[in-house]
Amino acid sequence: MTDSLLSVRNFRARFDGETGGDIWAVDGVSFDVERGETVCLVGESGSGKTVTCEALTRLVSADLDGEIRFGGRNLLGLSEAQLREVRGAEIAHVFQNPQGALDPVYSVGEQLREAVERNRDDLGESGDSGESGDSGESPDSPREVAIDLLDQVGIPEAATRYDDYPHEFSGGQKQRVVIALALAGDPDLLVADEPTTALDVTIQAQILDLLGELQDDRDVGVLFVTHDLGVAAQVADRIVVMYAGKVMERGGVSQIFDSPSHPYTRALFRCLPGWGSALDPIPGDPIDPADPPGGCRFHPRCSAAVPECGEGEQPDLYDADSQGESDHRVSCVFYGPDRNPAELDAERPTTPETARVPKEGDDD
Amino acid sequence: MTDSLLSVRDLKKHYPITEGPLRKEVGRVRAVDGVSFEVERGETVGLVGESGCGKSTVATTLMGLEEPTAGRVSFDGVAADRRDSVDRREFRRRVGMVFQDPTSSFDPRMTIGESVAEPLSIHGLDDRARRREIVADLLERVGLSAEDAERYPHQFSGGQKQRAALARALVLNPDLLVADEPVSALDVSVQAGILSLLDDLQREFDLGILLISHDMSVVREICDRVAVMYLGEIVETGPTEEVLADPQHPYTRALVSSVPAPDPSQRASEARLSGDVPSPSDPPSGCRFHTRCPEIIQPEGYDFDQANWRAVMDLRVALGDSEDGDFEGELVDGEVRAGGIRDRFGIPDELGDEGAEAVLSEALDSLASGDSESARDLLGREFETVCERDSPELRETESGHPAACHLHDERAE
Amino acid sequence: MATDSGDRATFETVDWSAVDDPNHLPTGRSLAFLTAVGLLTVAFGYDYLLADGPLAAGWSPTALDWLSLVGVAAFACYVVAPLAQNRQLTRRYWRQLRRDKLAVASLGWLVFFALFALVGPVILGDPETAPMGMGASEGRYGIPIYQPPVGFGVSEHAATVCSGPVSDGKCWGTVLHPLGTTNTGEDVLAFVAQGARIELKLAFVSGMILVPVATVVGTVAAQFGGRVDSLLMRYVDLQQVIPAFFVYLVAQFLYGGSLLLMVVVFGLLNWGGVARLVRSEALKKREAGYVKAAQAAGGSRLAVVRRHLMPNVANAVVTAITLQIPMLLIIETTLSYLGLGPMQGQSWGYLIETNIHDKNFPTLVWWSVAAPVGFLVATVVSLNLLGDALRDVLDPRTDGKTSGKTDGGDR
Ligand code: SF4
Ligand code: SF4
Repeated sequence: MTDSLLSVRNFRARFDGETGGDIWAVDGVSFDVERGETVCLVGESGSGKTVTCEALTRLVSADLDGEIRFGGRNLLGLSEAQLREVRGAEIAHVFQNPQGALDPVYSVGEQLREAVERNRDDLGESGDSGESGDSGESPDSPREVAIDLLDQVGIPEAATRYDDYPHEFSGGQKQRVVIALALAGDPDLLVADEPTTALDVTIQAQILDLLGELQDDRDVGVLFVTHDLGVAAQVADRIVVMYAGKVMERGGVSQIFDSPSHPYTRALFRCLPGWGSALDPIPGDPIDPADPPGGCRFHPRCSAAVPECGEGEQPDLYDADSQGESDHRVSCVFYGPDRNPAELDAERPTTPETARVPKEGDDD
Repeated sequence: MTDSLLSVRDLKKHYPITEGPLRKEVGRVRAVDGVSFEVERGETVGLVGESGCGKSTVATTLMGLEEPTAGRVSFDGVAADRRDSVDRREFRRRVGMVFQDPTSSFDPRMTIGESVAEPLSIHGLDDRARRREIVADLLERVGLSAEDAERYPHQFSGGQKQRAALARALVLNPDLLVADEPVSALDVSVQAGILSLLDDLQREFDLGILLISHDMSVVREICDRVAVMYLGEIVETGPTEEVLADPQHPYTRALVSSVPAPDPSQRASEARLSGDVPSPSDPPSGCRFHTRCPEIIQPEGYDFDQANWRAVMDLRVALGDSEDGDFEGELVDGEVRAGGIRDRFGIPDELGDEGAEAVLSEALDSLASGDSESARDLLGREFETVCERDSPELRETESGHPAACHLHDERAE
Repeated sequence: MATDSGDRATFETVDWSAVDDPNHLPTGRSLAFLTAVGLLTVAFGYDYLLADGPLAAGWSPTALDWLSLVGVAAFACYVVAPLAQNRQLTRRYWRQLRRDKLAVASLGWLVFFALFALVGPVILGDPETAPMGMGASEGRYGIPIYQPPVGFGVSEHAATVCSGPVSDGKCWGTVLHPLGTTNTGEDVLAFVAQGARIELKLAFVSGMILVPVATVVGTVAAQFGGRVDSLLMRYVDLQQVIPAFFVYLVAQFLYGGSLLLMVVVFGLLNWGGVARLVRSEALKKREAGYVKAAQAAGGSRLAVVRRHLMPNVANAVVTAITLQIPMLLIIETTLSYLGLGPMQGQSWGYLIETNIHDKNFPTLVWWSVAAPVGFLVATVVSLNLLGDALRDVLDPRTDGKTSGKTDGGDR
């Protein structure tokens, strides 16, 4: 698939360990994001999901390796100056902590206007006229564009709020402003790293709705990073489950949720509190990134592990469906040529008993 | 009547807002404003709500880490203000506490063993060898190893630290454990481990647990009863199953339906709560939820479509908030068209009810002419609802557990 | 869960009704310190009240000396002893410190400086007769003035009496006076050593006043908050508008100058800034779970201050104090340069002043200025650098262990 919006191939990121060794925070990750779709990177801390998405525009200082194709070129090969043109204008980030993403000494209006202006300059230089969608009758002054953006992300009385400082906004509104900032460059890909984790649930719901609407309006691709399977279920079209810098399983959202296939994914479902089934914690602790286990990275904690799990490399991403070609891929020996996934099913009950959410009590 | 293990009656905690060098009080943040509940032996009670609802303040106040402004906290029948020094010491011994952030909950300069043993020495167990033995045993019971006592906090993962924090909370053999967001800083897989540990410990020691959390799923998982807080008040309380399956308060309904379900076939489509939580320094009149409540009761004599009514209320809330013509300034900026305002708040061009439409048009006209005050007054007079007038009491509903919402007194009538 | 713990003590088996209230015995360290202070007090009383003449072997300590000894005792009990007891910790600190070459060099210089200040004056003796009285052997009119430092030469005619070798019409420096002599023929090295001792006492005693006062005030203000906090901080405000410099001048005019006076005035009037810093640091720590946990377990507020807040603001104190003390050293030098110094005739400032105004400066006697200035700068810079490094070293989290922080914002 060469014409994906974003296509990450065999991507690796290395940090220097404090004691001298290498830390491969991300170790051979591949996935695609298409225009208009949302791909969720799901994983716990240390899975490498944040590094992966920050590495797209090289926001991390690590040695990067592999291929990140976006807009017909390999982002890893770009110079810092070229990358600056990509950042904001083509790939924009929304971070977890809106507090940190806004400069407290400038009004949100100024920050937005600056983003708009910067993007205009860039457009002027590169001659890129990536006008898309709804900005048909583009208002002239950057201020008006900024106000319009605030309005689009649902800040009431945008013109009045323009001169307010970040501390005058609530957490949810700050995140809206951050999203407006990300949209200022009219990007093709929005990278949202846990954008709702710091927010309350009712606000989280609002922000998820907003992101959904904006995506529909603008036809952007969204790479959404989350640790919350619930959020992933709500927003994702496709899901990439990561553990310790490796992809464990990837597939369409219904494939992952209806028939989770990798032992890690299944174990994650069994850890979800409050959805019916008894809690079944994953034993052991997250691995030490400086000294990852050989073979399948999950094997020290995997209840289905067999001796060959600890040998060699992480298993290939096998097809979950042994019959035909599907997008549902699983990195586990049980899906390999030598074993039968059914053995895995025998091990434990597989389907996560996702209890129905109690609907609003039908008032009687 | 036997005494509850913990009984909190009408607890209030207000923080004065002071100004100037003389610390003149210019207002109060009503962080907790009249909260009552009980925790029995062997029972887990969840206190759930969003940030700023006062749930953590309840914890620190009932622990005596802060002085309550009013109200009574009794432990095992002894009220906090009646405790003599022996009772106080006993209270401290019999109530353990766990905090949210595992990273900051250990002194980085002390080994985990020293930290876990600290309450023992505070309470006068001077025998060092005995302390060490107790700690070693306890660490093993919470799933760590005895050797871990010698290590420093930064050598532990978050989950391990939280286990050690549980050990520290249990080391005095308490009857009540107050856990303030004990798992919200942890990964799901680690969370599950801590939650099951809590469950096991409770069963083993017949602990009463007060769990403070923002996470409905966690509450659903381990709490026997739950109290839902909004802006310093409890709006609904009852057995967890009942409350979550059949929530009686609109806020609880919104909270429950906002939790994203790990099931893509259940993508939420319900109407979202609009707006943000108002500031506790100036809580809304009447029912504190009325500025956001999707089910807010309609004014007498009118018949709105509920969504339109909410939209009109949003306009009224915005009018009430805007100080000194903020709002007009905004509107004058473009040309002030009544239609523009309708758009902004999602009010349709025609309200179904003619009488209501007439009132609204008139108000919008005065708004357009720059007189937001008379618009506000007119709307306030005509569209006044019981929800903004009277503060609802927490009272029994037909579902069998209490909630604080006027929807239920209507039915009672 | 395994509950079979044999007859091992477990937390359920503690019979709390049998456990007494905690007794607040001071720790061994505090006992040692109190004993030392007691002994010093007795000795001081004896010296002051009973013994006339030197206390021992020609040594008659001044009040400042006594104070310095208390400072040394505090340093030994609260810095050296813990380091010696906890080898593991000491080794870790050292490992950390070693990474910073500049800091190690600074530490080296400070150790040298302290030894030099302690031993130098004893070995070298009075600058006028140094080294060890040999300088005087040449008689009243034979004082070798303008003697250059080793490796340098000056015109033969400049130095009236040359105690070094003379060649090419130049008088060369001699190891007898390694740093040369002043315009009045005093040995510069001996003078610098004598000045160094003053600075060392100043540093030790003022540190001894500043550190405890600032730490206690800062942590107590933070922990107790409310009125205590307001009161203490208002006092600090007040104190900070009183210029210590001015107070010192007035007091000197009234009571005559002494190093003791200077130390007391500057020590007592200068802790405000440090206390403020400690307070803001302690305010942050107060919110930490371990402080709340200790309180929830029944620890008194003072106990929490002692056990958790004080150790955890140590970094801040160390950094602040390594900025304060150099300032005092500079002030002392400045004062004696201006002729207002407490130990006028012996201080570096005096040495600089008398020689910088010599008509032959800077062709001659530049060394008498360069030497004290060099010592002062090296000491001040070393203190700053070491302070910076210590802040990191004392942070227990900067252990050599790799932290899995590669996945930044994750939960
Ligand atoms: S490869 Fe082995 S260890 Fe890894 S997930 Fe599959 S069964 Fe478990
Ligand atoms: S009292 Fe009114 S505003 Fe409050 S929750 Fe009930 S319906 Fe909503």
